[in-house]
Amino acid sequence: MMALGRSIVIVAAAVLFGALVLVTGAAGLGGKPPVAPPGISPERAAQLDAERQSREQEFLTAFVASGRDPHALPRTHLDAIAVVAETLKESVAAADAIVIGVTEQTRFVVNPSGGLPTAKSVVRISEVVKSHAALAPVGQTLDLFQAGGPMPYPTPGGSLRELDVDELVLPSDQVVLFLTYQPRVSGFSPLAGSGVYFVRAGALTPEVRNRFGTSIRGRSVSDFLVMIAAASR
Amino acid sequence: MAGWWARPRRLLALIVVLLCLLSQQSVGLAGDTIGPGGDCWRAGTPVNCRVGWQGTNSFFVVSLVDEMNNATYHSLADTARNNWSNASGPQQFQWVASPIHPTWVRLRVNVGYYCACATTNNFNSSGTDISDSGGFINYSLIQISPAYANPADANLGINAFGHELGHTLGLAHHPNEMRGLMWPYNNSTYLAPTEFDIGLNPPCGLSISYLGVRCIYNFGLGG
Repeated sequence: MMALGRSIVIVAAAVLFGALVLVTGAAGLGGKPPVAPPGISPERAAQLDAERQSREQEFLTAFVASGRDPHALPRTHLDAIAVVAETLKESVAAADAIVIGVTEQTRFVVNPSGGLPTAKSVVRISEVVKSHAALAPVGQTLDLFQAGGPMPYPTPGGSLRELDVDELVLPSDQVVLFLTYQPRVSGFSPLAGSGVYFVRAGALTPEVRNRFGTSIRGRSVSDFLVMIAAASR
Repeated sequence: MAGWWARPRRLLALIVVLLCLLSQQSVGLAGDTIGPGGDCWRAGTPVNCRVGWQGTNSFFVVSLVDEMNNATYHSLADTARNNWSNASGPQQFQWVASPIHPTWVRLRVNVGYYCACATTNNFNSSGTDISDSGGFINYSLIQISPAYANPADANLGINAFGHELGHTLGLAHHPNEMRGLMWPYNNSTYLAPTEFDIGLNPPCGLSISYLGVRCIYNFGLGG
């Protein structure tokens, strides 16, 4: 009995020692902590920003001039906060227009506010699910405005940088679009997070930030249209 | 019988209490940091804090430069600034006319953002964007879309600015906790940082994720 008691004490002491080691480790007592740099002056930062913006514009200009397919660039996301519909019903209600179409061209231009380029796509409309006064009829095109485009980072060789709530449509993409009318550019933009559904090999791929995307992923367009009709009621 | 068992029982009780305390620290009570688990002060975790931090339990001031030229936006951002400055933690935000060394945040309207959305870019002392990777944040850029200029609900704008100010402190999105500013979906409910953004008192438990500003800046030891 005494031996059993000693064993329990030894095990308990070992557990306690382990816990203390973990606590001291978590408290940063187990190594040399990092040292904060002094920071640069605002003037130096402005210079670095100007150099970076210059590199961004040069990269964009060279990419456009090369005629390269933007599909070839890896997509990278800049995190954004946005109002994103929680359900398909909310999304249907929030959209000014819903269409099915194919992107004919995408033009990337420098954003006057800096940072992400502006992408202007021309989408040929094959079906109108929800109409809007400014929307052209089936067979015509709409102008789609988005933030994002080729940038020289963060991946080596550059990336297709976009907001994680505004995934870019690219030439030849077949898409279902939930749209907001943008009077200042007389065009449309996708609803944040739930505005773009890519149709790949007949199956839908929602955006990464789509809050109800799992219920849509992999479905056919015809299935989706039934769901939209049900959500409209 | 009672004699041999008394000492180990006390010891085991102590261990159980200690383990309970540790497990409490490791549950998801605070906003994520980039890394995850990035902070200023621990060896072995990714660095993720602002230049200008002076050490354990020290306050630090981040200068805000309004380049939005819009009274509505300024008012929304000012409420968010005030909410962060009055919350627990080491952070203080103050308006300045132009950037002040060692650390600052510019706020701009981005006309190229067509969604109702906002973003933050954090830059290190080499001018490199470290928004995705962490590191010592020297200066930041918050950009907001024109869609908030006349918001149907001004609280959405306050929530958006509050969220972005959280990013400037080194907080990442907290995708599993909606009761705080770092929930990545804009809402009009949470206008000020909550316990899920401020986080636990250091040493922040055994988990290296789910940590808030207290854990980033080693603020509030014993408090």
